[in-house]
Amino acid sequence: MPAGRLRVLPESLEAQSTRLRRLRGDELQSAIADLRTLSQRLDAAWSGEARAAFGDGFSSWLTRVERRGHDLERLAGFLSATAAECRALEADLVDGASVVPERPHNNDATRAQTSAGGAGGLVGTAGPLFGLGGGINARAGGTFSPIALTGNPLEDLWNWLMSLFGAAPQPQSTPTPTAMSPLTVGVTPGSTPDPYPWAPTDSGGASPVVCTADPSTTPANLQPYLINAACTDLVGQLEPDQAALLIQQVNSGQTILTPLYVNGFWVLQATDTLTGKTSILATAQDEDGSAVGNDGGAASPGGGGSGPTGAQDPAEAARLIQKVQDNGAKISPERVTWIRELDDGRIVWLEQGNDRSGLEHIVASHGDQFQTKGVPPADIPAILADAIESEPVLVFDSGEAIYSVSYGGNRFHVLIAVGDNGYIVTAHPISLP
Amino acid sequence: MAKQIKLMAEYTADVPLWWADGEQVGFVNPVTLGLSDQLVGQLRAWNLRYRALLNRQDPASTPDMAVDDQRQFEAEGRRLAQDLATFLGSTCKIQYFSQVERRLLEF
Repeated sequence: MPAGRLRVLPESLEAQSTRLRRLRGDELQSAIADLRTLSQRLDAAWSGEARAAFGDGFSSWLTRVERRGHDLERLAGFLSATAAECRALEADLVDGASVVPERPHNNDATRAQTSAGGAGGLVGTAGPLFGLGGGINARAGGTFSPIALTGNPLEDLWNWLMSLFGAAPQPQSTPTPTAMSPLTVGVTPGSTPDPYPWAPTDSGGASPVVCTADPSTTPANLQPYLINAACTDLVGQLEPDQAALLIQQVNSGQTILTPLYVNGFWVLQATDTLTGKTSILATAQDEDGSAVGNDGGAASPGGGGSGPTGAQDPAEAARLIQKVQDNGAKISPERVTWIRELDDGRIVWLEQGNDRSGLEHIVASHGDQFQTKGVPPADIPAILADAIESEPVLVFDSGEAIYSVSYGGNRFHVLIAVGDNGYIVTAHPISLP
Repeated sequence: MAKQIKLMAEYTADVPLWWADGEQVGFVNPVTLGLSDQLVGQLRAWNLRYRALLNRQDPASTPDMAVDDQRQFEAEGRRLAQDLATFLGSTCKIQYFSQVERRLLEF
């Protein structure tokens, strides 16, 4: 097995689940009971304020330990559920491998275009994510089934991508999530990100993904769809030789190919299983330029007209990233959500970041405050892009500035802190006196 | 209805108290809460430890706190949240954003 690959068996998951339940049910409960007994004995040996203070503190600590026990129980439940899903998926795969599936979509026209090389040309293997407006909403991945190979690598790739999203009949308006749905992770546009996606009781993390020939016409349906045209656009950006090599690498386990849905954009990502390095092979926006996952509804709530998008010309983004790099500043192109050149010549960008800075930090720490202003997490990047391009209301020497922004008809102020290199550290709504 | 206030360290904050009632946003002016100078000073000092971590030249490379420092920072944050809850009593609900657990805790 190549380094960097992780193989998890359902049996292992269940064994770990049992171990966690035992840890919680036996060892932890027993330890807590022992500690309570010791505490009671200690109570009898002294008195006064110190005893009371210690008693309160110790009791509070024990309560927190018990809560960790609940966490263990939840984790155990999650592992059991995942094991069951793995088994079900394996059964589906076995069933699926025994027959050659019919093409689920009428894709003759788009297939012809793809086979001819498409219109996009080769994008390259290290391009940044441009104008994505937020975090990853959905993903799926896997390996090729040799039985499905047609001999045309572009067509094979097209078929494989579409098959990841299910072989359901073409839906009319509200597609039904397929068997692949439980595999998807991420944040549904308009929902609050789940800080504990592993926890089975927090259902906000899953985002069903289905395949369809047309975007949904149901505003309430938040599922992202890989439509024929978007798939063609993705595949059309690859050369046949490159597609053939990819298929070979995927089948040999050297590469994991993953289509990601990122707030209205489809991104074809390759991961080197040996080094873990990822690269972006192609990006595609929906035909109408809207976020299909939102069906256009969440991006402009109640405001009439178009809402913020944060979208950006990829060539312009690449130019700015190159400029930042030429200036010697550190930037992670594959993690850039958007990048802007301001009137004063400064280049400012928003990266996915982590729990200490960047988009992840902003959503985790201030998502609730943006929500108070009616802004869902998925639209925070676009709000910040709009703000940074406007004239600030107040500027501080510390690199912080306050901007006036509008969303859904509401106007409010946002404070944005930018590092010396142009990286956005944090941002949040603020009330001015 | 009791006000809801969140204690959460942040680079942009002086006194790291935030509205969390779903109506107001941004910083809470500690003066309006009638907090003692001592408690305000402790809140400010606690947040300064967080702010001091930031690498302004390259924020993405801001380091994690050392384990011992993190533990102490967390304990101090919880103590401050408890002190706030005790001082404000039933007029306010206090939430604490734990950097360790990455979630809100009620006090």
